[in-house]
Amino acid sequence: MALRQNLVVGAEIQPVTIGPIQKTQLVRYAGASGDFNPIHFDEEFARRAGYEKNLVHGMLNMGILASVLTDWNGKKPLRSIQCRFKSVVFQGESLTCGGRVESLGDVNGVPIASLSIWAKNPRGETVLEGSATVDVDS
Amino acid sequence: MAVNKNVIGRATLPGRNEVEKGAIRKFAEAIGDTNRLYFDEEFARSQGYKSVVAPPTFPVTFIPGSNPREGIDIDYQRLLHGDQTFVYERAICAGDVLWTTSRVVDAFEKAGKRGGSMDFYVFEDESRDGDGNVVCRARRTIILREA
Repeated sequence: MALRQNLVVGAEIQPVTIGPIQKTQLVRYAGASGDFNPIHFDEEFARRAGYEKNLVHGMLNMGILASVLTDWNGKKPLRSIQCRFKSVVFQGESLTCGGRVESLGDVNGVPIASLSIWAKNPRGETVLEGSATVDVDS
Repeated sequence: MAVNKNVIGRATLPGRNEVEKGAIRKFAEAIGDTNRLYFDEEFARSQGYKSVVAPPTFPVTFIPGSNPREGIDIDYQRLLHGDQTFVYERAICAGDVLWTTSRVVDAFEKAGKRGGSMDFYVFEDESRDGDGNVVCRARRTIILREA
């Protein structure tokens, strides 16, 4: 299989902003994922924990970042993804996701790329920082 | 509450997780991902998969056969997710029946900024098919921040 054309180390994944992420989506994600921590949908509970608004699930942020990666690599399943959760996204905020090609290689003849990946909230904080391995055949 | 180091090394029983088309669709909709591989079975088959494909973070829904957090005091107001890794040996598709085991691989505490302590627990999950082949590995750190 051939490497996607024009793909080089250092290539950037064009940043994409998703959102704003509203409470309906948090409730939907709670149901779909099984994570029913009330901090994601009960404002009073979130306030008692010291937050002004409900927090977006960390795993929803990671799922959104993963969708930006699969949109970039032709919608193919990933080989791996890793994230550190560094800050939070509040209900009503958006998430900006991006990444960069750090190295190119192959596994059994399939071209793959190792990526550094990130997501930021609108306050300029890094929410997620990590890496992923993806197929990059044409 | 101090970190409970007695849980290190403990594994759950394997739990049966049947990957369902409807669960994949709802999960993808909740994320807002419109990838046809997650919704359109005929399209997924035309791309070489046996059915619709699960999104990358879908294994978060897999449940082990016993409680991985037994003996760990989980206070939802203090609970944070520290990091998460998924490594896939192949695509996970609807119709897969996977057996998920979760193991506590580390437990430690760090001094917090306000004089208390933060407790860290690291889990590793393995999901295997009926033949015993590993399909997905997951690793996550949870943090219980200062009260």
